[in-house]
Order: sequence, then structure tokens, then C-alpha cells
Amino acid sequence: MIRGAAVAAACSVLVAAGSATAASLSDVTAKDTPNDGGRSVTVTWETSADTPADASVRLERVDASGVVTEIAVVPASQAHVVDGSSGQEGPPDRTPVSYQVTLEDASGASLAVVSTDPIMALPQFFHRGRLNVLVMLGVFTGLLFYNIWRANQGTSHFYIRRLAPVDAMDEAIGRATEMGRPVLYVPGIEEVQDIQTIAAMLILERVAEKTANYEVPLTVPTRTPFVLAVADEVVRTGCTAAGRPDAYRPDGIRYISNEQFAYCAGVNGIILRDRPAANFYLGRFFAESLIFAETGFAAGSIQIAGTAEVTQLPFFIAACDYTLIGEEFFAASAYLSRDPSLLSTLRAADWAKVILVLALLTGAVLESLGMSAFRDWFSVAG
Amino acid sequence: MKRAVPWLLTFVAGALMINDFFVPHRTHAAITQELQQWGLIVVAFTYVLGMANVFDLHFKKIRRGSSEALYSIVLVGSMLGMAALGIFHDHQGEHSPFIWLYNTVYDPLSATMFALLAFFITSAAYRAFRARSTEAVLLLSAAILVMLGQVPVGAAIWGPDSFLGGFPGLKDWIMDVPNLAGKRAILMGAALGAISTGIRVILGLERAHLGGGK
Amino acid sequence: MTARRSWRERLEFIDRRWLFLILAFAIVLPLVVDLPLPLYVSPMVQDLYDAIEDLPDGSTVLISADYDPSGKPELEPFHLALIHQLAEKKVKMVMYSLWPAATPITEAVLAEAGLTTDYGYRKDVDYVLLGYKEGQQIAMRSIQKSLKGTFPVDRDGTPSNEIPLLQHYDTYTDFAMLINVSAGSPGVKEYVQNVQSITGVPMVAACTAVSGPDYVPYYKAGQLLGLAAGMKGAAEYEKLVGRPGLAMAGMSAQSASHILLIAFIVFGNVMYFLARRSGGAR
Repeated sequence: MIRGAAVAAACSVLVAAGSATAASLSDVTAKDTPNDGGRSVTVTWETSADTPADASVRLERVDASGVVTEIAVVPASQAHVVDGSSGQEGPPDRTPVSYQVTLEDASGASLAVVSTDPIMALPQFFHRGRLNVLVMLGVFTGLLFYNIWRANQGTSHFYIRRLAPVDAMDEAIGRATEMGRPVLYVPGIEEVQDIQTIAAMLILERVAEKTANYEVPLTVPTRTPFVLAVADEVVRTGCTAAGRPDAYRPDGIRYISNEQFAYCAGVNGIILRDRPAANFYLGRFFAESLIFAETGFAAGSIQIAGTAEVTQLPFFIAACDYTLIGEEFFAASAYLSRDPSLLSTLRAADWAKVILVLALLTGAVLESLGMSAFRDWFSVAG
Repeated sequence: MKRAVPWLLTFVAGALMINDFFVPHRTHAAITQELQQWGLIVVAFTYVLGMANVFDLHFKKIRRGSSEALYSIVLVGSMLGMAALGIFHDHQGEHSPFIWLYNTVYDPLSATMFALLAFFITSAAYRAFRARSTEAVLLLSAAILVMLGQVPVGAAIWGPDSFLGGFPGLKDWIMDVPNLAGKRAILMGAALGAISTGIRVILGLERAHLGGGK
Repeated sequence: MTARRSWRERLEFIDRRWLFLILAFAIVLPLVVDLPLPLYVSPMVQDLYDAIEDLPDGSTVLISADYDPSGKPELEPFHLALIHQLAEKKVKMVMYSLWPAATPITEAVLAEAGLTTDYGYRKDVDYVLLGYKEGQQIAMRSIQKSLKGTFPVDRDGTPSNEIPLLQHYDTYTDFAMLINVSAGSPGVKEYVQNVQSITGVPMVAACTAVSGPDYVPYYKAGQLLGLAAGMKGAAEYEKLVGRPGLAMAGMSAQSASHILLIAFIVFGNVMYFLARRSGGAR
């Protein structure tokens, strides 16, 4: 049987005649590399204790027609070679090949040769080492669908605790209206595929809706042109949703620079020149967070921040009036919309958190009792 | 239709990327790699959009002759100048004008902006770190211990060979135990929030970023 | 009518530019006057050094330098010492960057370390500089599929397929180690989440001081074999490599600034309590 399963029999062992050492190879195996895309076989071996430290192993592939291809020459202590990695073309899928493993001394003289039985490389459709992640994702998605279904049935009332920073957004926009000054919305400095930027875009729509209602100019400086395009669309949507498409000002959505501190200087310039009444910093931030927040403070703006970037949270908390911390930031768009199907996803996340806490407690107890199987189940294979 | 097509594209791309983690098969990997290459190309082309936005905004300001027109002239001039040097001159080697500008203008300006952080930390700490409550006192004490443990002068005052490992030992304990516990809790909550947001977007529950609204 | 502020109020709400001025003095002075201070090596940096030291001589590592001029004071000293440690072990290096401004910095670091002049490294044989790739995490994941596919040519335009060193190296796991010198995103977090946790490639990293605490969990979990955070981490690493440089020189300035910051906090609180005693605190 040669289909994908481990085939590992040493067919022949030849010790080179006249060799000064009796070094030998044992446990030579050739297996289809598990959990891979195919065209790859892993060959392993053991060397005897008297193998010279500078000995090497020459690995050759022999196809069905007898053509020999050298795969690699590696130190014997490496004990394995993957044929089909390192950018090299491996054996074709579903075609039997065998391997010849030659142990050589420093001068290249052969000490031992072992051939394996034929083996076939096969691609896998599922990575078995990641089953645990699939299970956890399945549980979470199940919770999510169940809660969305309940929300759509209208049978469930969703309580959401007050988020003071989100409530303060209205107050901040109201203040901007009274003062006749603009609102500044900084959607972080990440690319649009970052989940924090996506969350910032979701909140931006609600903010754009409110600023359009109050006829307050909205400025959105972006660090990447991709975010510019999305922010432009989101603000337009917000203005339309408010019934005020005329409130959309394309000049307010600006691309500044892709360079972090050039962007930082640009936003600081906007804060100091325009003196916005309210600054929203929502998204993924790095070193520029405190520079923005301190400049905004000096300009006398009311400031609301939100990020899941843990290292920047202390800066925002110290320098801003309100801060959305971690998951609060992701919950903000659902909170603002009050849409039951969106709120239901927050409940699913809470349930998942309960499961996570229980798993943590269980793991801590079992680990303390010297049982590591539970912990091991959570490790993800490479 | 205007809503369905973008959502469908989001769903397919999102599902393929999630699958990529679980499906090692070469054909699937080739599809996702191709998608990622498309992503790279789209990202590269958005810079044209970014430049168009910059030109549009700043030419308007220059035409209006507003008080900020001079800044706009400097900005547009710098951008075109640097781009021209990068395109028409060698941009490698120390004698290249591009590298000269990089070393003498861009490099110090960028470092200066980052260095401002130290000054802003000072003013924020002076203003915000007030012992208004027991929690604030704890926060203050921890901050002072970490700051002392982080630099050699702290170790010179109370070294790691002393009782409790000195300031470095206390700093390590604060960072590794209470700080790390809090950080992990925030990270886990944020990760669940991120997954939840991701699924909302993939399922089309949130589609403001597609311009479709709710 | 504006009431005249008392001296205490003026000190409590002092113009921040005075604080900036004092801080500037506190940073510049120790750079001029040498203050010898003991430097202890933290376990994270020791582990980083040991992990590299344990690499077999002649192995090949992948270095992603992801920082720009703003991060140079903190990261360039580490980067330089890293090249020295690797070169002394004759480790081959494949280098690239996901930050546009990083490639000129890498070139300057290689020149300063004397990689070709002092260590005799040959381009494309002992080291490869692939340059910059746009796309951040997309590029990162693309390298996981194929390095040569992601970088069809190197910095000088040589086709990757023709580079001798890359003949046997195309994905992260082909390399003995992944080393990330990072000032932010894409950087350590993205590499751990998108690459290390999936491929299991041995990884060490250097980052800015502010990001350090964010990445400690990865070190504790064994996903990072070692971590050097900020100028202090770089100074410790310079000490281990035996090449004192700018980071070690900057330690006294950093010490002085921390002491001053503590003094400001204490002073601010004294003013606050004096105000509270006189009933004016807010």
C-alpha cells in the first residue's frame, strides 16, 4: 500500500567496503508531508552513535522509470529533509517515487545507503492540526447565528450597558454646532483591511449622519488612499441617510500622506488651524496617538478616542475626555444603530467570553494538577 | 443590485481567506494567492487616487489665494520634486540627490516628529497624573516604579541583586503580572469584538463601508 | 474681570513649553557629560541573543526591517549589532522590508557594519537585499506562499530566480529564523499572528519601547524566542554582542529624562494637594 500513508521500510543497507567506521542509518522513513498542498514528501532517518560529527546525508529521489534526482545534501544530524520545500519542485502528486538516503563522511565517501519503499505525495483538503480552531470558530458562529435568529424573531430583548464615550458623541457634535466649528474624525493610521479601520468606518457613517443633521463641517484626514475612497463613500452614505445629501463636502475627506509622521504633522496642522470643536480618534493608532490628543487638548477640543491597540490606550485615557477600550470600540457601531440584529452579535461575543473564561479556569485547575491534555488541545499546528 | 454585488464580493473574498487557514490544498492556495496579488495591485493603484486628491485640494487652495496657499505650494512642489528625483534620477547610492534629500530632509523631519512624543508625554503626565483617588495613587506608584526599573539609574539606586530584585525586579513583576493580566483580558475582549465585527461585515449585517448603508 | 493667578496656580497650570525646555536640557546634558551607569541584561534580550547564538554557523535567516527614520534612534543600534552578531557567525541573510522608508536604512546599516568590506559577504551569495514590497499584511501572507513570487526581482533588479542564495529558500519555514525589526504595523504583532503562529518558524524581534509590553505575551507564550524593546533593549543587546554603540550611549539620557518625569509628576501632585488644602482643587 502506498497511498499517502506512512511507508517506511529500509530495503537495503549497504556499508561501504573499507570504511574505517561502522556508522549506519536506521529508522529511515518517507512519508507524505502531512497537512500540505501536495508535491511534498518528508524523509527522516536516525544515525548510529558512532557517526562522525561532520558526516552528511545525501538524499536522492528515484522515480518509477529509475531516473535519480539529487534533492539535498545536509548534515546527518539534521535527521530529516522535506522534498518539495525550499522553493524546489517536489515529486508529482499521486506518482510513486522512492528515496535513496546515503550517509557520507567529510571526504564524500559513502558509509551507508538506504532505499525506501515507494511513496506518493498527496495534497490535503483539510489541515487536521487546526481542527480545534475550526471547532471554536464554529461554536462562535453558531452563537452568532442563534442570537441573530432570536433577534429576527423579535422574542429577545437586548440589554446593552451605557457606553459613555458613545453617548458623548452627540454632546460633542452639539458643541461643535453651537461653536460653529468643524468636527475632526481620524480613522486611525491602518489600511482598510484592518478590522479596526473597518470598525472606524462603521462608526463614521453614524457620525456623518449626525454632522449632516446639525450642518456641521466634518473633516476626515486619511493616511492611505484606500481608506480615503472608503471614507468618502461612507460619509456620502451618512449624509444621504440623514436626508441631507447636500451636506456632503468632498473637500473634507482628505488624503494626507502614507508616511506616519507626515500624516501626524498634517493632522496636527488641521487641529491647530481649524480648531475643531470635537475630535474623534477611532481606529488603530501607534506613536501618534498622544501627539494628536495633546495637540487637541491644547486646541481646546472635546476629544473622544477608541482603539483596540492596548499600548495606546493609556495615552488616550490620559489626554482625551472619553475613551472606548478594546471591545467597546467594536461594539460602538451596534450601540449607535440600536439595530437588534447587530446588538445580538454583542451578546454572542459575551457568551463566547464566558466560554473563554470557563476554559481558562478549567485549564488553570487541570494544569495545576499536572494534566496538560486540555491545554494541548488548544495548541495550533503550524 | 448596487448592494448585493459588493456584499457578495465581500462574502466570497472573506470566506476564501478564512478557508485558507484550514485548507492547505495547492489549488485553493493558488486562488487565495491570486486574490492577494490582486489586492496588492489595487492598493498600488489607489496611490493615484491619493495623489489626485492631494492635487485637487491644494490646487483649489492655491487658486483661491487663501492664507494657506503658500503651504500648499510648498507641499505640491516637494511632492513633485521628490517624485521627479525618484523617477528620473538614480535613487540608490549616497551621491543620489534623492538619497541626499532623504537623509537631510525626510530623515530628520520624521525623527523630530517622533521625538515630540517625549515632550507630549511629559506635559500629559504632569497634567493628568494626579493622586485624586486610591486607584490613581496605585496607578501613579506603579508608573514611578516602572519608570525607575526601566532605566539603568533605577538599577544603580536599587539593583536587581537586592531584596525583591530591586527596581528592575519590581518593574518586571508589575509588567508581567498585573499589567499582563489586564492586557490579556483587553486583548481577548478585543479579539472577540474583532471577530464579531468581521463576521457582521462578511454576512452583510454592516455594510456602511460599501456605501450601501443599513 | 480676570482674577490674578497665585504663584501656586501658575505652577500647577504652567505653560507646557517650560516643561519641554527643562526636558530638552535633561536629555542633552547627559549626552554631553558622560554618566557611567550599570546596565543589566533582561532575560528577553538574553534569550534573543542566545537564540541567534545557537543558530548553526552558515545557516540562513530572513530579516524583515520594518521601520523608518522616526524609529531609527531606538531600532538602528539593534539592527547594527544584529548584523554584527550574524556576520560573526557567518549566517547568511535574506532581507526585505514592508515599510517604504526602511530599505535605505538597511543599506546604511549594512555599510556601517562593513558586511561586504570587513566580513567579506558576497551579494546574492551570502546576503540578498530584496527591497520594499507594498501591501503590508497581504505581502506578508504572500511571502508565506512564495518569497520569490512576492519579490520577482531584488533591490537591484536581479531576477530572484537567478539569485544563488535563494535557490533553496522560498517560504518562511525554509529559513532557520525570522527576525523582525519593527517600529509598528506591519510588524511584530502581524508576523506572530499571520506567520509565526501558522508556520511555527523560530522568530525573534526588536521593537520600539512603547510597543514592547504589547509583545511580551508572545515572548511568554514562546512564539517569540527573544525580544529587545526600545533603546534599552538595544543597549542590552549591544552589551551582549560586545559592540557598545548609540543605544548604550543614550541610556544616561533616558535615565535623566525618566527621573525628571517622576520629579514633574511629584511636583504636579504637591501643587494639586496645596490647591486642595486651600479649597481650589478641581
